Amino acid sequence: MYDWNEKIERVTTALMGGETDRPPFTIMAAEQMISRVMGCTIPDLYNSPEFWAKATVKTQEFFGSDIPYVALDPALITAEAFGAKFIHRKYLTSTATPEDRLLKTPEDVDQLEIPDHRKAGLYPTLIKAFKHLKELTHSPMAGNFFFSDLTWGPIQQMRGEQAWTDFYLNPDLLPKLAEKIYQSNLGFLEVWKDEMGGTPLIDINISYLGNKDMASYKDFWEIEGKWVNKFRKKTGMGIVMHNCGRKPYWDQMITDCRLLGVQPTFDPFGNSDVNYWKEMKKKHKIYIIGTLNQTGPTLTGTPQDVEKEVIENLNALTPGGKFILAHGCEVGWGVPLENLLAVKTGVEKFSEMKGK
Amino acid sequence: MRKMEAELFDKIQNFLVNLKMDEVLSLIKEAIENQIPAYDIIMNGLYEGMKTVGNKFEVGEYFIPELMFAALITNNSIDLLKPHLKTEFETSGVILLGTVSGDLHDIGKNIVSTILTISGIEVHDLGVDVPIELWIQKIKELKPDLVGLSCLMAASISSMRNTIQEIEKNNLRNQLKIIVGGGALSKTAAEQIGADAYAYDAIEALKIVRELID
Repeated sequence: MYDWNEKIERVTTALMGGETDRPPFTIMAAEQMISRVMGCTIPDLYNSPEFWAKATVKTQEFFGSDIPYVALDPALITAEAFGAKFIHRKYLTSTATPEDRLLKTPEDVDQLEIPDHRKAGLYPTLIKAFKHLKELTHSPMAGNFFFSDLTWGPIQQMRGEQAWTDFYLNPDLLPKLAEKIYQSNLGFLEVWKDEMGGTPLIDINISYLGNKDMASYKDFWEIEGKWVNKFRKKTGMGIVMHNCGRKPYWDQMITDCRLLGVQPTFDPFGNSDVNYWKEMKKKHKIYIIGTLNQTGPTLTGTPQDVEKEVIENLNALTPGGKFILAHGCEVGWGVPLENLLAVKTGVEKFSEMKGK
Repeated sequence: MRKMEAELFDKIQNFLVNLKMDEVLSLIKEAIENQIPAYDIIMNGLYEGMKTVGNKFEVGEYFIPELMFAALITNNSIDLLKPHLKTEFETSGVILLGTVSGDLHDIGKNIVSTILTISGIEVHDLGVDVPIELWIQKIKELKPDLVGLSCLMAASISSMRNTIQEIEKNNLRNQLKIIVGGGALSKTAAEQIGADAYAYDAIEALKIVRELID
């Protein structure tokens, strides 16, 4: 019997900066990896909240992970609830159909209504899956992660490539759309509170624009950062930000959005390696969920390479706690399972070495 | 080059670098009316302007919105120039470009496509979410010098690896070079999945494509 309470205690203790028997870890297994492990399709997950929750738990148990969470893509559910059409694939992440974007003209944004989160798109299924997850794990933490995407993910799903030229061609459009996405996230939170009881402690926020290779910090702030900060102030939740991209503005984003923690995508260009995060943890007193390279040994190496990477990361980042080992981003369907299983082996080897 | 032409090219470059769409398009029309060869307008005006835009991107002065908008101005300009191009725009090298199966992101790929096109490379863009069978079919049909694979998501890198492996299995690998790029990739990951070259961004892609073709 998998003891989720023990796992939760490990995670909580580590986040509080305390000593644990071994460092906590999780596998960033979203829909793709869950379908791989369970031998089902992604639509199978979306079609049944009970199965979605069960499959999530089984997958995390298979990898020996410490955190149960319903894996989802917040950009997808947000955009779909607004009315965007999606291609739901069997084993690959769903994406909005490029030839049939929801917001074809700037005027379409004005017509956009905030979704009813009790009915729209995948939200009702998601809420039910959250409830099942809580029942399956008997874990208060299972209900304490809220996922939001403020705001570039849904914008891109609804507006497509045009969103980039909107900065120049339709400068009023993006702030208007960002505000609607913000309102939608608040609406979902209200339903979440009603159905789950209480307020979630942590919002895992998915941000994409805050990278030097993508947008200026000013544009990031206007379209994304400002809304993350507003959401934090309005809800009182701690924000853990995930940022996919190269050369993120972490220092500024952590300060300006008053982040509780980060779940950074591994930067293969050396701009934010383990030593960088060691310094950032010290400087900002933040939680870190990461820092394994999702495109490195896990994808193309051997289990031994993964174990080595795990031990290097743990050596650097476990002192002082506030660290949960994980990949920087979702692991894809084609990642060798033995390499994901090697994460736990590496964690155990690290703990044995520390114990001696 | 006549003085009037040189001044016009300078203006096109400057307005393009400063992201002034209407001004660039108006100058393109003026150049066409003055019977300046379309090829010269592209190479001395648009291409040079895009080079400066690319440099500004490289040093962190410009970002993707600026790069995308400059690419849009360039594409709109090329649309005006196309009827006047005739056969004078000689291409050197053929590239088959696309986003691999399972990934629908195309911003980077589209910028690469624009920059390669105005640099005289014959680009065949297969679009996004390109199935492996289509890559194989088009390679056999078009016999490109290069294949450019793009993907944004880390989860799609295995799809990129599968595409390269299928090109090998079909005995097509020796007749072409494979260049890869995209948000989640690195040079190391590119080598590990069997690519010949990796480009960090569109500007680097142009340099590498030129080197590989030459």
